[in-house]
Amino acid sequence: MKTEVRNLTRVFGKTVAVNDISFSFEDGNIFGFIGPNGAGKTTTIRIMATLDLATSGDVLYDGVSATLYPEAVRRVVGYMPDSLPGYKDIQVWEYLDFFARSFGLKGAERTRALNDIVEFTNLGELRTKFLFALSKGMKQRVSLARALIHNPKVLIMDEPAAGLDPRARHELRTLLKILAEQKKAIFLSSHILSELQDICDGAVIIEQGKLLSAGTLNDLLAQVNGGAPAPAQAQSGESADLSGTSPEQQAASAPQTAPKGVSVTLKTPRGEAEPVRLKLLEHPLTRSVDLFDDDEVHAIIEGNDAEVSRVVGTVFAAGLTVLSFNRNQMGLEELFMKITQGKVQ
Amino acid sequence: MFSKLFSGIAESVNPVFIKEMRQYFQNRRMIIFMGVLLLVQFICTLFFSSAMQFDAYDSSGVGFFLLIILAGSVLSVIICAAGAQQRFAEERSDKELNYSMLTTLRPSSIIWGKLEGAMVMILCIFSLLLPFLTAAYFMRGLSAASLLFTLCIFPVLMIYTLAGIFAGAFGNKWITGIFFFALACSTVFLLVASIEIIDDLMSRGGLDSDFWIAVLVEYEIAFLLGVLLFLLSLAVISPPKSNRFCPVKVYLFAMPAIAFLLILPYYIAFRNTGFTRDVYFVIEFIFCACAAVAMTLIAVCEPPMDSLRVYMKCPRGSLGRFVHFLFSSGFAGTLLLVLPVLAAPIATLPFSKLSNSERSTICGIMAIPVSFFVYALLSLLLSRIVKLRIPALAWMIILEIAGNLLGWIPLTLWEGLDFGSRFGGSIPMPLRVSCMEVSHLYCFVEAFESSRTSWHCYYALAASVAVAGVLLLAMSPFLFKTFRQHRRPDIEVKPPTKDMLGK
Repeated sequence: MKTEVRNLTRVFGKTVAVNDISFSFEDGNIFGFIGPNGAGKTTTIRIMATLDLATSGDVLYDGVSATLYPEAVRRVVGYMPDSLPGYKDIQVWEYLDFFARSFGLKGAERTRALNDIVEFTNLGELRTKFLFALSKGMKQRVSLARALIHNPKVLIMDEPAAGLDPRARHELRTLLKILAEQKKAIFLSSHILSELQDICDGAVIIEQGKLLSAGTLNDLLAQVNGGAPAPAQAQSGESADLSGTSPEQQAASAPQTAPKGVSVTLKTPRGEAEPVRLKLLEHPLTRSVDLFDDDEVHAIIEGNDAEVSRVVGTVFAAGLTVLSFNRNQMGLEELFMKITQGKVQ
Repeated sequence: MFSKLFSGIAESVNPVFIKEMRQYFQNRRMIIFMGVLLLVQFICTLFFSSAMQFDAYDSSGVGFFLLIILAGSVLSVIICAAGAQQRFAEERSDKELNYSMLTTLRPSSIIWGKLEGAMVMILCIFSLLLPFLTAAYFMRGLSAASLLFTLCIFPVLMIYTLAGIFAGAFGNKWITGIFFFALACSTVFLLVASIEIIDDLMSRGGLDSDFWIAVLVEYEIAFLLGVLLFLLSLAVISPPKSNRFCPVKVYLFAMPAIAFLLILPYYIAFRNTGFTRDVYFVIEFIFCACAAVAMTLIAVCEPPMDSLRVYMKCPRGSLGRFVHFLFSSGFAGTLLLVLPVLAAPIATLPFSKLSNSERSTICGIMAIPVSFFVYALLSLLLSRIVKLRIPALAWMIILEIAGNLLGWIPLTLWEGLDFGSRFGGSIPMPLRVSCMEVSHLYCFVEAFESSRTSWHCYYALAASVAVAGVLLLAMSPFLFKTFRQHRRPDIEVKPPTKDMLGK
């Protein structure tokens, strides 16, 4: 199932919470939705889950409009919000049974669905526990079970790992990987970017309601780490396909906000960093060079791996001493920090 | 135990009802309430039985009966109305309602399931009272028919419960506070009224035909009000921009006709008694006035434009488009919809064979919705002309307060006015006058000519209609523009597959 967010805009009074964003993704993959607080993530997710209506634009599931056919879309979409189940005087099993009935599951089909989901989310021992007696991690599992009870093709999750301990986060990660293997499309927002980096195949980054960057994870990381492949970026109003198809074309059509180049660190004996810095600056492919203390040089060099080797080689050729030489690998967190400015609306 | 019991219930039962029953029976407070009710009744039975043994009072059963009915009523109000409100408000604030709305459940199923659950609980509470009501009968002092008085409580409790669901649907602390204040006030009123009615019944020695007419009328009013509260609750929980007030508007538009048909059998059966044709028409006009006021308030609260979801359901034909425009969200259609509800009774008034006093009463009644209509038009105009981003409802409240200060206070201070005789005395003066600011000038004129006091209502209606006409003309460009925009856009839409429709 292809999920397509098309020119989505949501305005609250004078505030433009989501500003003309477009992207798409397909099943069998996990996609992260990243942005600072107040960026418009939850608003976008609520519209995708049919809880809210866009001011303009639409979300299409296999071409079917979520604006015009919300009832039909709800059968194929599961939504796990950032809040936890709130009922007090109801048992876990009764709670899930209510949602199974509400999705029209009947008789044996409902019993099977309930048993499957209880087993999948490891809620077997908690079946007869009241919701108020559960810990946050357990409630999160109940919330996931509720979102999956009707076997949706697309799972949308808003901050699923928030407030979970490391073990619970690990369990959640494992469950998500299994769901992706079951050919479900998973779209989740999170602030724990290191977690996203481990499980996501792609990511969408927004700030102040505008799309900053989108693409497969490899493309996005390559964007800041330098070298091929070229980064996949999109501007508001342009569509970003997260399924990994032709990112070069997207890059060619969209201006880039992040600096291009490979980041390298050269370690020198104490007090010998300055000559190395000057030598690197002589080369036309060097974009910037910074000194850290008096024994470390950070440089950003344009070009591919061979060209970077050539530039660093000029230092060795000049007879300068270099103790070690590293190519810096940036993660999703660095990428996030680099391309967002932390502004809220 | 309860889980197994309820899991056996047929598949066709509303899931919300099942969930509500599970929650009710697993709620500790509910179990404690019921236990206390049984215990209190048991102690009271012992007390009254021993009193009967020693003094052989003939009326022991009456006191006991009163006590049980009052305890049952208060408990039902607390559990079913306040409980339904609290539970729904919590569901709203915990966002649980959102998750229910994300299933294939319709909003009507959610409200209906909650109402069903609450009504079953009321039946459970009254079934707990039954053995003690029987004991009250055997203690003498009241007839078996008098025990049927308990039937009158059900429609009242149903309205309370629906009001609770309606207030809870907002999930707002202020509305919760207002609801509990109103609940407390009306419960006290209900208790006092019940005691008076029972006392009257006992003095008359039982139930007569007048009593049963009153009960049936009460059931009808409860039905009409209950449907309105149900539809309003539905509108509150439905997603915005989904034409959520459409069912309310259809119902209000049809309400005078429904009331006409509901009261007709009584008129035919009792036309030789005090239920005359004039009374019948006055009741009918009151329904028209209520429907018009409610629709006017909805118009003020409505957004200026519709959403794509609403436009896509607009028929292509001009007549269908106009009808869709009237009943879809947006103030323009709603304002136009109020017009026939107001115009039909006012236009028939000169031709109706009513007595002069009834005619002036009806004029007074109809002046109230027209006055509301005037305020609505003014506030909608101001909200569009004045660039202060003040919503129309806020404008209406400001105008109402200003109107009351300018009209009611000078009237109250005017020593030459005899309020009681001028306004019939039955309805409180402030309530009547605050709705007729347009005609305040005439009140002062009349102060000098007391012989023309009955003409006040005619003046009020005529002045309100004239002002409404002028304002409607001023609003007409906005209304016309909105209608021109109300059409189905020419976009290609892919329908959902059978899989997505669950077939």
